[in-house]
Amino acid sequence: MIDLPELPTFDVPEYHHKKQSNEIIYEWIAENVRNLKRSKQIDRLRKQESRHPVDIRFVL
Amino acid sequence: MKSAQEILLNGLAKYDTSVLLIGGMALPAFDVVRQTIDLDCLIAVDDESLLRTVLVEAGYNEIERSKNFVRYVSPSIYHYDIDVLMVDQKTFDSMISCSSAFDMGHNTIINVPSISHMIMLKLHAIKNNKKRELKDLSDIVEILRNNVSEISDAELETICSRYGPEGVYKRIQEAV
Repeated sequence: MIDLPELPTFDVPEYHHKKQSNEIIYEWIAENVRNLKRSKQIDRLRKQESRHPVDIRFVL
Repeated sequence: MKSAQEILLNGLAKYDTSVLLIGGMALPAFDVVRQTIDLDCLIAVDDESLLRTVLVEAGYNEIERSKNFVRYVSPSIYHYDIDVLMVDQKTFDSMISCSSAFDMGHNTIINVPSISHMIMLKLHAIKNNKKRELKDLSDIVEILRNNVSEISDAELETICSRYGPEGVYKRIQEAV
């Protein structure tokens, strides 16, 4: 049997600082909202009836 | 700068008041991800004035109010619009007791409804605003696809008949 040398280990700082996936998801959403607000497109989207909350009370 | 969710949670913590995250922002808690432009939350009707205080202090403006919801908008591009749905205390207490804590990242922990309650809310929205159907039905289908066995067919059928429009159970079953 060949006696292999111990494999080197590397400290990869990026790994330790890698963001959790939920942070990435909400940053993606936030970036989109920032762009929509900057471009004022959000004003048009706010008026869409499909985005309007229902005005009938939800009761369990 | 604090995020909208941090403003909401830190502000309400001072009053020992809770909210539930609902709508598109809550979908990642059910392994569903899509774009959305606002943060929807649900609160007991008597606590809404506290939420108003918190949001107005943070620079939000109320742009729309009805008996059942309020819409707040921030002039900052860094803060989402916040839609607040109001429910009676009994409904809120039932929903919060079945809710679970969800980490939105940056140590922001917020309660999200149970899968059943989330689907009920979406069915309620579809039933009462036909224009929401495509988006909300798609959300329900994705929630069910990604959470197989969490809701039995019998429970889903009961929920659909109580909260949704006629025939919605069949449509969901066909799509899932």
